[in-house]
Amino acid sequence: MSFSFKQFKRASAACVALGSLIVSGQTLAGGTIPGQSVDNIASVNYSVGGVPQTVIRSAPGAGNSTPGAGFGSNTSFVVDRKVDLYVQEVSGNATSPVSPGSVNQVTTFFIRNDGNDIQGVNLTAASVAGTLFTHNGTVVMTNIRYFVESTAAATGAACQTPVAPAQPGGMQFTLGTDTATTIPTLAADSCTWVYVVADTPVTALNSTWANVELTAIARVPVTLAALVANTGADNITGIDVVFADPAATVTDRDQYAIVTAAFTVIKGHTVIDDFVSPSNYKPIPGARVEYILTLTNNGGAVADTVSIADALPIQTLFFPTSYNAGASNVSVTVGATTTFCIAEPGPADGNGDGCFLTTASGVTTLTVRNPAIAPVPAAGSVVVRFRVTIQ
Amino acid sequence: MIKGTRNILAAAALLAWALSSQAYAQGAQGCILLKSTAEIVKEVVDAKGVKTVTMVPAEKVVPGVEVTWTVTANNVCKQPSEKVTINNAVPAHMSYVASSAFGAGSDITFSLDGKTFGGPAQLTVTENGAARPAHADEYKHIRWVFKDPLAPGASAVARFRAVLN
Repeated sequence: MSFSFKQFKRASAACVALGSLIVSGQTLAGGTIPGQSVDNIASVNYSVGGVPQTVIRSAPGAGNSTPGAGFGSNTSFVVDRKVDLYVQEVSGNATSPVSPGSVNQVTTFFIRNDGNDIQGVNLTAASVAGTLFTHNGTVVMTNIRYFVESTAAATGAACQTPVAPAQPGGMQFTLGTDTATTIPTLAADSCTWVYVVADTPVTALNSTWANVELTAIARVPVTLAALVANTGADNITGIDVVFADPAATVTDRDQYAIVTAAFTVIKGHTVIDDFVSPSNYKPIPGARVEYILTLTNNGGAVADTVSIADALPIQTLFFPTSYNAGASNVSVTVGATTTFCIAEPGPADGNGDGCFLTTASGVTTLTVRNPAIAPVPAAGSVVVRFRVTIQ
Repeated sequence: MIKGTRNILAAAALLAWALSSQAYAQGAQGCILLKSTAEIVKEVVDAKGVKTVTMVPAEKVVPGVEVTWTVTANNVCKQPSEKVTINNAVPAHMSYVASSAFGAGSDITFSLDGKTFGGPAQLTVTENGAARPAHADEYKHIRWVFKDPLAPGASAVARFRAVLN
């Protein structure tokens, strides 16, 4: 006996609608821009011999001792450029369910510029082994691609928790629309989403997982040339580039959960009647035997197209009028529902009900398939019954 | 020295001080040399892998970095300076780091508006109609009042940290 099945295609889950964010009068600091001079001047009041003296203001270096508000000078430094990208996968869980052989499966990442200046971003994505979300990723997705959300980047409050990293309602990957593979400019405090899109190996088994890692590298805006950090002496008059992360590179991982139907099969039989004994029927020539095939879906997904082909033992002959006062000869039970079909001699399913017989090299095979078998849910079963006469 | 002589000497000294204090006029040098520095913490690992933490002049400062501001008041006169009070506004683009103000021998107070000074317990802010204690990053001014006179040649140090916004 052999059987096969296919799963229903699942529609992409709709994104969670966004609630309103209430900020009580706070402005989100953009991060002081590079080049801003930060100045400080202190002052001292004092008395000598009980007589208050004129205020003296501070100065850097050797200091100042000339009294008066017009003297002294600022102690200053210039703000440098902080390069700081933030990447986080969005859902906190694996993308699920993903069926073997399915293509263009999406995991979503959030990316934000936490530096104080505009940056460009280069991206790469790759399969990666290891444990994520408590599952070991053993499957390698194929045809791994990455695309940037085509909607303009958000900024400010929309990029901060508790909203981020969730996407705005309705935003999701659209093949052919989200096509950019780099981010030429991402302003300070701005954010967008990047999709890793991959295909599932057809050989992947139920209850397995595949990891992908997205890498984001900060680059010069627009040209995406390499960024160089100023690690030497401080450039007092100019702006130094300071990397918050090694090599201005950040990564995060996400996962696909492969879910499919997975059947176990039990085949049993009972002797309905041997037409000789009053009870305890024996499998003797002329006896009527009922075969019972029980297929249980131990997988995590519904199987929508189950097809069973069972070769009858050579010494038996299919009995054509077993059920419904002879009107049907195969019984199919899915869950609590029992339906019937008529397996007529082939070579094809002449009456189109999903059941038919074929004979080759002296072996007769009963095929029971769509539309005779309704979709079998996870943890569900299909029981097929038919009868033969022992020759 | 006999007691009478000491009194005469003391009186003479007082007179000299009184005369010299009147000599301090606008434009002439004052008695305090006031210096202000901006420094950051730098970790240096030497060839043996030993880590040392030093303070260096502020450099490569980017948002999130803490800067230590140090004001040094050095008495450059021959007379003590009394009631030495250092005032320092928290620089623009920076936020005061709670509990970082320090000055040996001084009482330290803060102000939100530059007029009223008090300790953390006295500074309140009204938000959404209700009063709450001010957060350290809302302090705008810091004041150190040194309790003892500053002797000639001695220095008083006031220090605080602020983080770049």
